Amino acid sequence: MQRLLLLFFVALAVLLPILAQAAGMEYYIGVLTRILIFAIVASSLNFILGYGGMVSFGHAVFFGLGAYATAIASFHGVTSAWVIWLLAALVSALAGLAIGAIALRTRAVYFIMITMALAQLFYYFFVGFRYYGGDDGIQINGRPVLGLGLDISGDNGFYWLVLAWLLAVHALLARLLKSRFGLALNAMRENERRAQAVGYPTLRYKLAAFVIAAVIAGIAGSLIGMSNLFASPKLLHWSQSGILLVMVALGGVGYFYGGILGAAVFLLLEEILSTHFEYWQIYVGLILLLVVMVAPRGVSSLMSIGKTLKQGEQHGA
Amino acid sequence: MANLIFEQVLNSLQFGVMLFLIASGLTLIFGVMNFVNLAHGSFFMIGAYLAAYIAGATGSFWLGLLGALPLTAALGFLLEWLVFRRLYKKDHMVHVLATFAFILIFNDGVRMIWGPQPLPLNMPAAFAGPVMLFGLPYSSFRLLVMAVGIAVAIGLYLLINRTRLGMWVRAGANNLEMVTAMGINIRLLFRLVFSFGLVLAALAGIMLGPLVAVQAGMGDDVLILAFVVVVIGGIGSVPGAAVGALIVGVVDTLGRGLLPQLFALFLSADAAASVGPALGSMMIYLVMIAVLFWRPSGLFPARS
Amino acid sequence: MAHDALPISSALSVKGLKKSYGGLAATRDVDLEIAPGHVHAIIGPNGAGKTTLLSLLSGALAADAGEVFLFGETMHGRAEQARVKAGLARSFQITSVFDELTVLENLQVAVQRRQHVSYGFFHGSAQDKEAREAALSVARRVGLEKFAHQLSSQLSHGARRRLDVGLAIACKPRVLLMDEPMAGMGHEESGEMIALIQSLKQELTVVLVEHDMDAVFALADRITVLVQGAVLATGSVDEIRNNAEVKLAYLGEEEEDGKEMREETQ
Repeated sequence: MQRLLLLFFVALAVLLPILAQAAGMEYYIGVLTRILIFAIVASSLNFILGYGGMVSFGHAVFFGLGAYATAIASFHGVTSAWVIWLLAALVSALAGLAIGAIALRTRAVYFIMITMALAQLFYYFFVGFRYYGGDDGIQINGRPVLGLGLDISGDNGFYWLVLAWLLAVHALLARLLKSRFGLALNAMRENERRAQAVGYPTLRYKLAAFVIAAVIAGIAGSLIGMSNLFASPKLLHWSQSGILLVMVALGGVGYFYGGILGAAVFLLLEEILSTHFEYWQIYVGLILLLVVMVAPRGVSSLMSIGKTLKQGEQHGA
Repeated sequence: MANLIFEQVLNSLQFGVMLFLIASGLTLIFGVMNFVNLAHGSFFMIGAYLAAYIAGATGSFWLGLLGALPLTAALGFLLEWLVFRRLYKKDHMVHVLATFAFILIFNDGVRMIWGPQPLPLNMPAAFAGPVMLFGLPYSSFRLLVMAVGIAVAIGLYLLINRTRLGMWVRAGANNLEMVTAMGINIRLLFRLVFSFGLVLAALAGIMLGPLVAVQAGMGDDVLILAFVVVVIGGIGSVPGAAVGALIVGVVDTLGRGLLPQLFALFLSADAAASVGPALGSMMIYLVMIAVLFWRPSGLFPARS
Repeated sequence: MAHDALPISSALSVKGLKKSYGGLAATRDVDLEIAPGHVHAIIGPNGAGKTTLLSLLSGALAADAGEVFLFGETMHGRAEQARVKAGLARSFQITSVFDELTVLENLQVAVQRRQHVSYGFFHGSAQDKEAREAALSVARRVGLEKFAHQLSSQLSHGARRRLDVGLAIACKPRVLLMDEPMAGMGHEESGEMIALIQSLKQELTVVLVEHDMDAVFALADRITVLVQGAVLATGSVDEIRNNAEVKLAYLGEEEEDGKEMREETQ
C-alpha cells in the first residue's frame, strides 16, 4: 500500500511543472524547486540528527560550500554540471572530515556549540574573501551544462533535475539506513557506551555518517547555487543551520520523510506568511514553539507516514 | 600607532568584561540546568532596546538602565515559568528549537514594535567626553563600561563564593542530583539562575548599546562569542567564563582591529584589505579549536 | 609470585594495575592470574573498586600503570575495541542494551561487528543471514529466542540482564568479564543465570564480579578478594572461605546482606 502511495506522489511530482503551466501558475515551479532542494539538505541533516543523534548547528556550512564551489568553478570557466558536482562533493567531504574530526570528539552541549563556532569560521572566511564577492556574495553567469541532450537552463528542466537528485539521494539514504552501517549507527545513537563495548570504533562510524551527510548537503548547495545563480556567505551562517534544524524538527526527527515534509511545511509557511504579514518570523517562531511543546516529533508523527525506519523495516520479519 | 594599540587593548578589555557578563549567565544555565539557551543573545538585545526606549522617553541613560533591568528580569521570570521550565528534562534538540523560536520571535518582535532602524541610545552626558590616560585620550564611557563590568564581576564572585545561594548554584553545576537530594527548592533555584543570567546579558546590552547599534539581531553574533567563551572556559564555571571572556575579548578585538593593519605592513593594500579582516574574525574560532585540542572540556570545567 | 616469566598458561594475566582519581586510589597494585576455562570470582565489599577493575581490564578506562595480557597477548595501552577484537568482552552491572532495537537486532549489532571488517554501507542487515543466524543462536543460548523480535525496552528486568550478557557472548570472547550478572534477580532467575555461566565454562574463561555468595560458591574455581582497590587474598573457594582476614573484612557482613537479599526475593 505504501509503495503505491509513494509511486503516486513521485508521479505527481514529475507531472507538477506541466500541471502548473496548464493552470497558469508557472511561478510556483521555482518555489517547488526550492522546496525540493531544501528537502535534500534537510534529509541529510535528518540522517545525522535523527539516526546519528548529532545536533549539528553547522550543517549549513556544507550547503554553502556547495554553492560556493559551484560559483567559483563557474567563475573560472567550468561549464560541466558533473565536474561541478564532483567539486562540490569533494569540498564538502573534506570540510565534513575536518569539522567532524574536531566536533565529534565532544558530546551534547559542547557538540552543538562547537559546530556553531566552526560554522562561523567558514562564514567569516567567505565574508573576508573579497575576490569572490565577500559579504555581497558572487553571481553565477548562467547555469552549467548537463549534457546528455538535456537542457536544464529552463525552469522545468531544472526542476526535473532537482527531482532526480531528490529521488537518488533518498534511495541512497533508504539503502544506508537498512544496511549494517545503518544498524550500527542506530545502535550507537541508542547506547554509544555499549556499542564501544561490543567493539565499534564509534568515532569513525559517526564521522563516516557525518561526511556522507556533508556531501549530500554539498550537492544540494550546488543545486541552490545553480537555481539562484548566486552564492552568498549567508548560506553558511549558523542561523541558516538553525533553519535547517527547524525544518527537520517540523517534519519529524528520525522519520524517513521528515526532511521532505519539514522543508515543504517550512517553505510553504514562509511563502504564505510573508505575503500576508510583514513580521512573519514571529508567526514561524510561535508555530515552532507550538510544535515543540505539543507535537515534538513533528508532522510525521501526526500522520502515520514513514514511521521511524528503525521500527518495522529492519526486522525483515 | 601606539595610540591605536593602546586604544585597542583597552577596548578589548572592555569587550571582554561585557562578554563575561553574558557568558557567566550562559555557563550557569548550561551548568546548573543543562539547558542550551540560544535566546540568551536576544535578552542582550531586549535589554538594549528597553533601555533605549526608556532613555529616549525620559532623556536619561540611567533611568533607561534602571528601568530596563527589572523589566528584563520580569520577562525572563515569566518565560521561564511559562515555557522553559517544561523543557529542562527534554533533549538538547528541544532546547535548541524552542530557544531558536524565541530568537525569531524577538528579532521580528523588536522590529515590529520599534521599526527596522536602529534605536539610538545615548551615553550619559557626564561620560560623553574623553579622559586622559597616560597622556592618551580614551572614552570615559568605555571606562565606565569596564568599571560596571568589573563591579558586577566582583559582586558575582562574592555572591557565588560567599553566600549560601551561591554555594547551591556551584553545587548544582557540579552535581545536580546531590543538590536535589539535599532538599533544595530546585524549581526556585532554576528560575533564579535563569532570570539572573538573562539580566546580566541585558546589562551588557545596555552598557554596549551606546557603542554598537541597537538593532534587531544584535544579540546573534554576540551569542556565538559567548558560546566560544563558555566552551573555552568550561561549562558551569564562572571563573572559567572570566578567563575565557578575557581571552575572547582580547583575541577578537585585537584580531579584528590590529590584524588588518599588521598585514598592511607587508602585503599590498588590496590583499591586506581582504585577508586581514577575514583572518581577524576567524582568529577566535581558531583559538577555540586550539584550546579544545589541549583541554577537551575547556579550561575549568565545573563538572568532574 | 614470580613476575619475570610470562605464564602463557594464563587466560588473563594482570600485573601491578593501578588507577587513581586525584588523591583517591581506586585500584592499587592489582595482580591476577586467571586460568583458562576457570570461573574466577572477584568479591569484595562495596566501594572495593570491582567495577573499576573490570573497566580497566576491558579498556574502557585507561590505567595509570600496570600490564594486562590476554593469553600472552599485550592488552595494556590498547583501546577497548582492540581488546574486544582480541577476545575480551564485558557485561554490565547496570543493564546496558540497545533499547529501541529488538533482541535479535541487539545481538546482530554485536555479531556483525565480529563477522565483518567493512562498514557495510550497502549490505542490508535484514539480508545478513550469517549474522542473523549467529544472533539467533546467541539468543537461544541466553534463553531469549521467544523474544527475538521484541523490543528490548519491553523485556522484563531478568530478560534484559540476559540480553546484556548475550551481547557480550555475541562477541565470541575468550575471556568474559561479568559485572554482577545476578544484580536485582530473583531466586529462579539467578538459578538460570548460574546455569548459563556454568555452561559457558566449556568455551571460555569467566571473570565474575558478584555479591551473590551462593552463586560465587557454586561457580567459582578461584576467588580473589578485593578491598579498597587492593587484593586482600586469592585462593580456592575453601581457602577463601576459611581465611580469617577475609571473613573479618568482608564475608561476615556480606553473608548477612546475602541472607537478607535472598529472603526478600523469595
